[in-house]
Amino acid sequence: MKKNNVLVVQGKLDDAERLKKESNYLRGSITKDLKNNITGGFTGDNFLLIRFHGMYQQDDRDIRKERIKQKLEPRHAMMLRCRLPGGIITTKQWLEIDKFAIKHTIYGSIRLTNRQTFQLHGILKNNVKLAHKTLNKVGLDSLATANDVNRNVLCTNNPVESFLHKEVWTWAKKISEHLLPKTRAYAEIWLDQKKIETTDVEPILSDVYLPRKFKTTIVIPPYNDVDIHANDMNFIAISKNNKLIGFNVLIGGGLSIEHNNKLTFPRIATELGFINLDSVLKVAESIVTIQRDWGNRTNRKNAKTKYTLERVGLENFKKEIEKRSGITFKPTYDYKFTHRGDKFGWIQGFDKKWHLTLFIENGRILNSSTSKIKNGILEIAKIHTGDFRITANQNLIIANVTENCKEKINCLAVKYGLINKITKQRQNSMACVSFPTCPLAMAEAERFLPNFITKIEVLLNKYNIKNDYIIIRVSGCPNGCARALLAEVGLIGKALGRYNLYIGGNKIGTRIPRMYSENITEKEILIILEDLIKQWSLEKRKKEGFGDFTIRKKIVVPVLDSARDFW
Amino acid sequence: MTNKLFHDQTLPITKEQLSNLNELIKDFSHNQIAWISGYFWGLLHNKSVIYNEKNIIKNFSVTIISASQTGNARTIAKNLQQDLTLNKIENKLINASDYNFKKISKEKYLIIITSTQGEGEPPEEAFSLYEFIMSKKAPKMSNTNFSVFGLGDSSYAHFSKAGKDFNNRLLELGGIKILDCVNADIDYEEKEKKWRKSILEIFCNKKLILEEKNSIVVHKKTEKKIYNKENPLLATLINKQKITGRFSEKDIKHIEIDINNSGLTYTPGDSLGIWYENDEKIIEEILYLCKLNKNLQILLKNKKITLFDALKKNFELTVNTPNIVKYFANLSRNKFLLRISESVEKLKKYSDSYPIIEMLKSYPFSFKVDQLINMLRPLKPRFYSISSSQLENENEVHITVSTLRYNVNYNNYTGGASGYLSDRIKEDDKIKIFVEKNNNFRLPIDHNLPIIMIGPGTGIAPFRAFIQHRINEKAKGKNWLFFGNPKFTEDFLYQTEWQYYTKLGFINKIDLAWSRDQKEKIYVQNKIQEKSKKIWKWIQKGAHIYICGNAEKMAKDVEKVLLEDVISKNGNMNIEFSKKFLNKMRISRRYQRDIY
Repeated sequence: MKKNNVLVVQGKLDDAERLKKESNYLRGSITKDLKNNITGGFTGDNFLLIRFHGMYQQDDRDIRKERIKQKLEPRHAMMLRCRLPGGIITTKQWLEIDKFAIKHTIYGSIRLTNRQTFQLHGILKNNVKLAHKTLNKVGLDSLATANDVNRNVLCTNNPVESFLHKEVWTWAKKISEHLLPKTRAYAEIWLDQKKIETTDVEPILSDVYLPRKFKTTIVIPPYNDVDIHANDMNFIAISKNNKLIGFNVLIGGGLSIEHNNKLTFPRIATELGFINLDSVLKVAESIVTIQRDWGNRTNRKNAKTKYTLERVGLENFKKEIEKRSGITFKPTYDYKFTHRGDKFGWIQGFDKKWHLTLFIENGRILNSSTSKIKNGILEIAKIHTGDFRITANQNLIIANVTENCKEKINCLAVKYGLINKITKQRQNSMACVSFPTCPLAMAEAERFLPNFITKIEVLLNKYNIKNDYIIIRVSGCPNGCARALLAEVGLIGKALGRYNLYIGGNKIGTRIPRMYSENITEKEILIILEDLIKQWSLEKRKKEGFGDFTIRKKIVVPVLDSARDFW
Repeated sequence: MTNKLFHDQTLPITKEQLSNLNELIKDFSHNQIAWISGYFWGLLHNKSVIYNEKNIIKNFSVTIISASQTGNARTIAKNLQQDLTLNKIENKLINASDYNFKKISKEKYLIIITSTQGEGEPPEEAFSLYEFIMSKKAPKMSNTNFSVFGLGDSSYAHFSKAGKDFNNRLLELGGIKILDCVNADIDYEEKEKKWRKSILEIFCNKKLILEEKNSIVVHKKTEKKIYNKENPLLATLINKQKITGRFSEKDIKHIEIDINNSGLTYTPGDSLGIWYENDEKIIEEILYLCKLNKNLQILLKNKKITLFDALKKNFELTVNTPNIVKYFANLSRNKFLLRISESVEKLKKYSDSYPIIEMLKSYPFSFKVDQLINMLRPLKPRFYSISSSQLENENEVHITVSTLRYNVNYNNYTGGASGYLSDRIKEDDKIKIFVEKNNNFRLPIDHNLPIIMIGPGTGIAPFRAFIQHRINEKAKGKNWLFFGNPKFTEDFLYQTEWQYYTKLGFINKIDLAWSRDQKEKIYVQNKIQEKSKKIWKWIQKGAHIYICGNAEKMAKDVEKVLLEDVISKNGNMNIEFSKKFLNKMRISRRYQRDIY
């Protein structure tokens, strides 16, 4: 990438900028579209505007072609993504969501996501308002969970260090709220709240919002469950004697690319330094406003913070943060990551409360003919006095269980098959949603993963390393929702049945893998992986992960400076 | 648009003058009319209009079809359109999904810009166009000059396959390539600019042979034959497509029949008579139950045919009647049947519940041939409202068929005709048809009058024909459609067509009633009730009202709402007067029904 120090890229603005500008603070003509009875979708700009309100227009892609022949439009339905800072949801909220999913969605499922929230797929346009009202009734919303805003804020789930977690989680909530759009469009359109005379102002985001999506995390070492390097802005909690004293700040991570477009690249986040607690909101706001002002609004493919940072340089960016926030970064505190996955089963926190982490394959909570996990979680929600937590690995924690409730909840979990023996390999695998609902999907992901992992398990068994695991992630497209570009083995969809294979990430998620083979089938992938797994089983050093092994053995050259060496 | 001007009744000329003018220009082409309009404008402004080349609006128009997945093809198409427009070259840009591909061979200058996705497939919006062009139904393209621009990604196995396919197939069909097919990779911009430049040069450079080839249009003088019930046309079924979604409880088929060179003509509002054939499985089973040999020869209308063939084409086998039950009771001397024969109600109830075959299954009996033949009623043709206009589909007639499926004693049955059309007849099979004129269901003669169409379920069929007709006649009158069915996502018949007509402004209002999408059932009559004020306004403006569909319930309910809510309430009259009012509308042909 050519270094170009200009702070603001001049040129013809991307059409998305016109759209935001003309939207009148995200209103567009959504209300008019809700009355349009001949289509189940939104038209024109509104198709993208509803994303600011936390919804994506999708359709069932399995039946798209047959519907063209049937002279029917695609079966449009919305996916709604809730805002849930740090993934904490009360049982009362859960009960409402569960009911809504059954009664008013096509698929009847709740999908946990790796950004610690849930999505409801298949809401027909007629039910959209009801969805928002239902959320609102229990104190939830879906504002700003998509498009060019600060999305749902992630926060490490560490129920053991309960006091620290609570404090850190409070910061996640504060940051989320501080950076929310201030427009009343959401309340007016979805909750039927009256228009008030005052004009809207967006002091932080501006009337054109951010140039591109913006993702924030807070992490409590040694866990890196939230995958900080996939995010624009990250706060690493630093504590002394179990007391939070401040955060290391990192910016410029992000994994989204476009196939073969060498102007795009994934990037891990860069350290800026340490800040005290009283500077958190000021620094967060400064980073967001700098990206707002300097981010490239002429080309969306080049608009994320990672590109801004590469263009203006770290020092300029850092100086500007200090200028805008009036604080000076202190040197980064030492920290160490050792884990990314969740710890399953029961654990007890410092405050003596119990926590049960459940493995939810693909994060999909849905009853089927063989499994009634949705009912199981519903039954637990009915009697549980604590809360639920969604992890950044798409799993669910039944949190804050008292000693005397533990047995009852355990019984329910066993009865509904929520506690099964799952291999480490399966526990450490992840896929995005992809087909049939995601409009971007190029290849299967969620529906591909379970069987694929079974085949990997067979290989690990065959080479006598069944207690080892490889972090495997499958993304249906290079947008990268499954964070495949921070996996040891990443698959990114190219076309139905075909993937690009990336190898060489590490266990804790600080190294981007490199493309090993392009546009290959599952069969070809398995042939390659069998060969590598065999080598790994025979020649690996003690505790050497698969990704590290492939680097040491020079099977792939490590990606060290992705802006320059990824392609 | 000019449409608006005409509605406002602010015409500066009389109706008579207008009709004279229309008469004068009726044989003129689009371009000729465009030229004349400029000529008159020049006269008015005292500018001498010199008839020379420079003033002539170029006598061709370029059609650009864009088939896009991510929007790149669309962008290129828009860029090209801009180029052409700036150079005053008449053009139209259309999304592949909106394109009426059956008329593709009529294009003189055709540009296709398409991307390729997945394993070499065209973008979804071009799926139907692609299938049609690739199929054996594709027309000869020898009057079409074309160029294809393909977008692809060379890291895929089938690089720009859709573009290449279109190009090769158009050549195969006799199309004239004006520029080699371009296949551009993800960094397409350079190639795009170059290609657009070349296209523009071709269209701007008069030296190139772009004048219409003296294509001699041979008007085949097809004799106007008379087809009727006794003398049906043996036509070919060319397309059969289910048009309800896969989760629908209804199975409704759209059927297209080829009438090319037959001389068969029809008018919107007409019905299509169909001589159907019975299901062979049912015939076999009946013969088995009656213990009759299928090869027995019988004499029918002085012709010797096998019993099997007679049952297939000449007798009604599905619908049971009280008379049949009675006949069979007397024949079989079955005590139960004899007992119910004494009561008209019981007979009716039995014949309604049990098809002939179920009756025979319950009480097997060894028939003599004559006995069976005498018991059965002769087969009658079935009628379906025609759902196409010949102005839009010159060589085709379309119908919309709801398949009757029912279950008796765990056996599945279909309606005689609907089963034939929906399940048994295949594409390219022959079918016997004739047109049944219906002069009591006709569009207003005055194109400027608004119409209100009420047609739930397959009642929508004639209104598809109406709209196609009005569009082609460039009728200025407004169009309002009321439609209903169980579910929006599954049962919106011809949804994408209505969307397209709405987008173009040909459907001005559309009200939809989905009976199963919410707790309480909503039907078209509820929608009419809701909109009664507006409907009354339209009536005041001379609107014609049409109802098509179920006679027993829907038509009655709709009429009730028209009388009580629309006319009585808004017109401030009691029911008596309201009935008279509607009757007047009926007499003046402003209230017409095609109900069954």
